[in-house]
Amino acid sequence: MIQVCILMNAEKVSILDVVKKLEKIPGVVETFPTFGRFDIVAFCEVEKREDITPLIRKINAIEGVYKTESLIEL
Amino acid sequence: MPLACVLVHCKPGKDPYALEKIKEMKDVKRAFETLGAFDIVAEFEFKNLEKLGVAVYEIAKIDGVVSTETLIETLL
Repeated sequence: MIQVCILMNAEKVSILDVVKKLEKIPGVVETFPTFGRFDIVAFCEVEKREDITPLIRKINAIEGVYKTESLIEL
Repeated sequence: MPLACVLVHCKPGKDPYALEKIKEMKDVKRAFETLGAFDIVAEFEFKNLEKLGVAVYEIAKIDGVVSTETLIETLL
């Protein structure tokens, strides 16, 4: 298992919707809105490295998300 | 219990040591070394802000840790 922490910025009005959508994405283990420089944090787990890009692409595609920062486990 | 995501910058080469120390801490749910803007990411569950503050201070004190950034769960 490879863990990935994705930090996101989203339109303030749609943060809750984004979190709800994130919870439905397979691979997303834990997600919550946050105070601070980022609006949402999502902890994900993927089988292998090749699964990371599709996961991030799916998250980027969520309406309201305008910036993501991915921290991939070494 | 609310969650917090602690992002850590370390001195080069100190990541494994710092990660080990973080993993030993009480309320840490998960922690791993990362590629990207930060060196280590840790997820904490905390009872109150004070306890979280103590935990983050513990991390900041670890030899090799340069800086930390904490993202606290907002209960919208």
